[in-house]
Amino acid sequence: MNKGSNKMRRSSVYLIAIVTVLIILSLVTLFQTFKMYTEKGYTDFLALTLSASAIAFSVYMILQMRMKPLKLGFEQPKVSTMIRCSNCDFETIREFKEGDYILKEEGSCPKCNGSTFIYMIFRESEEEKKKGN
Amino acid sequence: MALAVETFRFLLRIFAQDLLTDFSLFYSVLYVSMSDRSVFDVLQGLTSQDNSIGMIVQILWLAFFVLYMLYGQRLQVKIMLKEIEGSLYRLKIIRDRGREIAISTVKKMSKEDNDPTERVDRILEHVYISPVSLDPSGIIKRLEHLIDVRDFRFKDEVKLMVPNADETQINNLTNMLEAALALNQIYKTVRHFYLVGKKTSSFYIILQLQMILPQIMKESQAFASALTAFKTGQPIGDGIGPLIAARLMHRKKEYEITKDTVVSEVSIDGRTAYVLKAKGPGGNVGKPGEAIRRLLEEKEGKISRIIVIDAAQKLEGERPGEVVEGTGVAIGGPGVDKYKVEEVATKYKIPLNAILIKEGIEDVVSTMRKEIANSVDEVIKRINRIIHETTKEGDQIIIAGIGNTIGIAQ
Repeated sequence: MNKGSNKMRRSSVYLIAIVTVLIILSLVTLFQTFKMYTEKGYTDFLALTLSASAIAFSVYMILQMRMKPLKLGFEQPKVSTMIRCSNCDFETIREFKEGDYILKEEGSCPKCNGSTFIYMIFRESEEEKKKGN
Repeated sequence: MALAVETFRFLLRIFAQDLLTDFSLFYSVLYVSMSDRSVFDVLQGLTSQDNSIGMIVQILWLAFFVLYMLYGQRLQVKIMLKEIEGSLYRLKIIRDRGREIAISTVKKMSKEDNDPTERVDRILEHVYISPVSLDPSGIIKRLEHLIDVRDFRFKDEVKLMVPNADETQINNLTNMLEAALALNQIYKTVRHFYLVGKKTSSFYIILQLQMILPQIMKESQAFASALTAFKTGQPIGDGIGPLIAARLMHRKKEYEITKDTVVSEVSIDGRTAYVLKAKGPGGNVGKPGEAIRRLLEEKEGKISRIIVIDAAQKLEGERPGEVVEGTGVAIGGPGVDKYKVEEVATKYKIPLNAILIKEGIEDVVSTMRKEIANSVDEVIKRINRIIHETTKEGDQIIIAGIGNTIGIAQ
């Protein structure tokens, strides 16, 4: 597992090196353009556009690298268990416990003393969570 | 300007798909075609700066473009291989974590000192050989037999590893091992094509692999979530069919009509509905095809309608949990159950209705999401409408909830 992490780190170092070289090249070009403008009064728009957009692209790449978390799918989602009473309108939601299953009897109702059962087990989706926030 | 356009076309041909290609193309075109001057003018302008650092920088840029023009595709292959390597590494982590979860769960449940690692590894390498289709006659029977044998083999292996486990635990563990096996197969297949592409430096093998990689990653993440769901016995998206059947069967007497499949007699709007689903709450799909066939033979075909409820793959843009209706047998899998229902329904000329609940590939095997669970009431409403509109009082109908019933009893 450690070996793998090093490999992952190496590939990101490789990308950072490329982006760094690109930024340095762009900055030097930018400096040259500025120098030319102060010395001769000539503005090289081509070089200016090139270096400015290269810097923007590099910043975007760095942000992209930073924003990518390694999601594998094993992350335990928030799973809820909905319990209902068979006689009255009593309904409650609690966190899922191992051993829960739909239609499992869940003791007596605190409202009417009737029998309760697990009505639903579900997870909140990522989109729903975002909407909630 | 014409030369600039030609250069643009030439560059476009050489630099095809990749982001870096687009990036280089953008700068190449920016240098050449955005200018009113000819290429030579531009080149002259670039090198005419009397500053030596400026010249070096310009030469470096030009060298980069020339090299990219000559070695563009090779570089692209390298970049694509690097990208595939990253995904392959993620697939390996997923596969290894899946294996670890499977071994630790078996260990935890067996309560014995026996190390299940060797047996689990053997199961993860298990190969299923599909029946020969050169002579298609009788292929369904052969296919069913092979599927049954494979299923028994898996369950026997689990029983040997966890002798004190009950039926639910055995079914859940079997499902979990199936998910771990799928992760192993995916990893090994991707690795195979990656290595072949690398060995032959074939642009097209690598390109095809890179193109389907996002889908493969999505599927493997779905199997990873499935593993977590199977470990804890949570209902999955595919269980929406059995969940609807369970709601209809709730507090009614049920009996096992065929292996791992239960039926209840439910009265709906003056009609008698035979509601069937796989036996829960352990992970299990049952044998709905055989169950429907037996019911029809028992009733001598006196069934006025068969309603099949199942989860269906949603198209991009469709809402998860969306309910649609159709005609036909909505049963997925290898086709054995679908074939049986089609055959017996045709024999007795019974109309078939399908109710489908749309869900994405990532939802099918992961814990059931709220939107899908919430579609139950809508489906029951539609069942009642279909029954009311297409049958009359005293009629007999079959309602089948298809899918994996993990975490859903009856």
